[in-house]
Amino acid sequence: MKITKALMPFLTYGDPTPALSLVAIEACLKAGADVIEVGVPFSDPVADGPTIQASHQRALAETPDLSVQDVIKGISPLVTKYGKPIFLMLSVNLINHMGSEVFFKQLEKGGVSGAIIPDLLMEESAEYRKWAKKTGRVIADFITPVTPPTRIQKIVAQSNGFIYLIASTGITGVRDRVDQSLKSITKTIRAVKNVPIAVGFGISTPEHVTSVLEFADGAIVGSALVAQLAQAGRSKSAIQSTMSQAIKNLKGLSPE
Amino acid sequence: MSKKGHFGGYGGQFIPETLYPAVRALEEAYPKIIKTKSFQSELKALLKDYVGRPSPLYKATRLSEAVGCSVYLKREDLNHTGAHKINNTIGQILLAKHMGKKRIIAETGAGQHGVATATVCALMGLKCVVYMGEEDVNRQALNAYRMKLLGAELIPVSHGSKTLKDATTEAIRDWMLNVDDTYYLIGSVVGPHPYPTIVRDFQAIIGKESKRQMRAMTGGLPTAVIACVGGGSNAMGIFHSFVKEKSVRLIAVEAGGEGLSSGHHSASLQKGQSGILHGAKSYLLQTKTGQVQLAHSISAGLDYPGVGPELSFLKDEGRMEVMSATDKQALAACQWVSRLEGIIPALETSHAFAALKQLKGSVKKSDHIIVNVSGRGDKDMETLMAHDKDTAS
Repeated sequence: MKITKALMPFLTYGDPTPALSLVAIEACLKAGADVIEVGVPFSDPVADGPTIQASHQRALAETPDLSVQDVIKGISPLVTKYGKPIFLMLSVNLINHMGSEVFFKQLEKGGVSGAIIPDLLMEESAEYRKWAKKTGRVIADFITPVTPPTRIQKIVAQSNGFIYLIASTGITGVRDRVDQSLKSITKTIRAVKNVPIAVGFGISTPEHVTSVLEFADGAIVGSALVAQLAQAGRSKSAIQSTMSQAIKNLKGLSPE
Repeated sequence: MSKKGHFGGYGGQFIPETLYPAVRALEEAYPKIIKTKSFQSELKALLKDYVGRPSPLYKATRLSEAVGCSVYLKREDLNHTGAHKINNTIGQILLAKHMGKKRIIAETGAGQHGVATATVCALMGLKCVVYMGEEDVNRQALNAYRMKLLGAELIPVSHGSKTLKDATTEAIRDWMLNVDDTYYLIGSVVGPHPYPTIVRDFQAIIGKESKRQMRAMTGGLPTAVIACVGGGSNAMGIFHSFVKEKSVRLIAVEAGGEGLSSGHHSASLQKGQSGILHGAKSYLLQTKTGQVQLAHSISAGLDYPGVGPELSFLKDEGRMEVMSATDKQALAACQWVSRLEGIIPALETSHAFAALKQLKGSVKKSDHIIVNVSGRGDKDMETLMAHDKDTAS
């Protein structure tokens, strides 16, 4: 898994509609996003904040019977077209419901790089890891500012994808500053193994992205983009220009 | 338990990494603290003098006659605050105090757990924040006010279905943001390990007492034990002491809502599949695509799409029977018991009585059945009055 100085936007599939969410994702890719995280809407996303939960609810109100298979089928052409890594971010119940084997085989078929599962601890992950490994997919591993150093070592030692380093304790949402203690956690991680580190939760401004990329390999921007997309409404061209501008802005490519 | 925190294929810890340290700390502290003499003596004294335990096991003569066997009522409705919920909150508040926590958060459905939590927080002088779905705040206005009167901060939850499951999600989020000083006091045998075990252990006193009282009254074991099931804390509480007594039928009664085939019910054990919600794997009501389905019941306390992992396990093992009662049957049973025994049961408990009624005809005269009267019906007067009007018009 190679992630370098990467801007990693997160968007929810199906918000405002499946087709328009693909328009938004494609606009991000065109504007220079390096890795995409596609959220699969879930009725009870415990690890997400109000902005992303509202986005999940909009998507499910629009398409109540949206399935994980639909999401994979929908994004698969973008994998082929842009050749950038795409991950699904989803609650463990959605995988449990369809079965780990089926899920990872479908990811493989669709060319999706792997899964980010925010409510799956290392201790409960054996079955999921087994199928990820068999299908050549990865599962991102979470580390937070409150993860004890001994546990960081265990998590990193078994990681085969990338580390999702949570910028602050708590749920996803826009925060004012990037916790400086993250730098020291990064050192602890790299002392174990050279694995890509992406920082997320609360990253919302170009300044955040710049400061994160000084010590990490990727910066994940979620809530801030989801909120901007919601402002763009349902016009294809407004969504394209909003997302394109947002990504360029976060990359420091525009004068804004 | 086959593996740490698992009951067969159920249970576990499906939580964000952010909560790992808090859950781990609880897992380590719990077995150590409950073994200490000071914890045990404080708990014993509070259960006796504050809660009013032991609760009576009462032989209900007229109900027995009506059903055709001996019916005994375990009177958890006589506990302080009017339900079994306080057995658990007393235990967990002492645990929180011994762990040095300063702030208590809780979720509540019918408001019984919220009231029981606000009560013990007042007792211990700890700050209390209760999350309650907006829908439930409206349905259970009296309990909502009780919590405020007791000094708790009540936060109405306005997203999702605005009921217990959303209140639980919100409480978990609060905990993620305040892991250092906050103790999450879960009200049922749900949530990540070790909660299902902790809550069961504190509720197990219901079954322990019942067994002893039954022996004293009849010299033997009951034929069957009946309890209603939402999350399942009163059921696990009374069942636990009888699980190893294979002759005793354990009967769990789910809320059938408008009927099991209507799609509007809370019958997770009968209509759900293995799923993961709020930190544990259990039977869960889900759509074809794995979304959590909205539960429905006339009783807010049973209105939950999941159920405890240990109950899921007992069902699969064939150790526990599962029945259901519809909203209508529960309402009828509430009136039935009120008029036969002068005891107005909570609408949750009324489901257990509706199942008792269904057993009429299949029971033998020599049978001894215990019904867990998990709570009293005072909180349900508005619902009952509204329904009375509906049927009159």
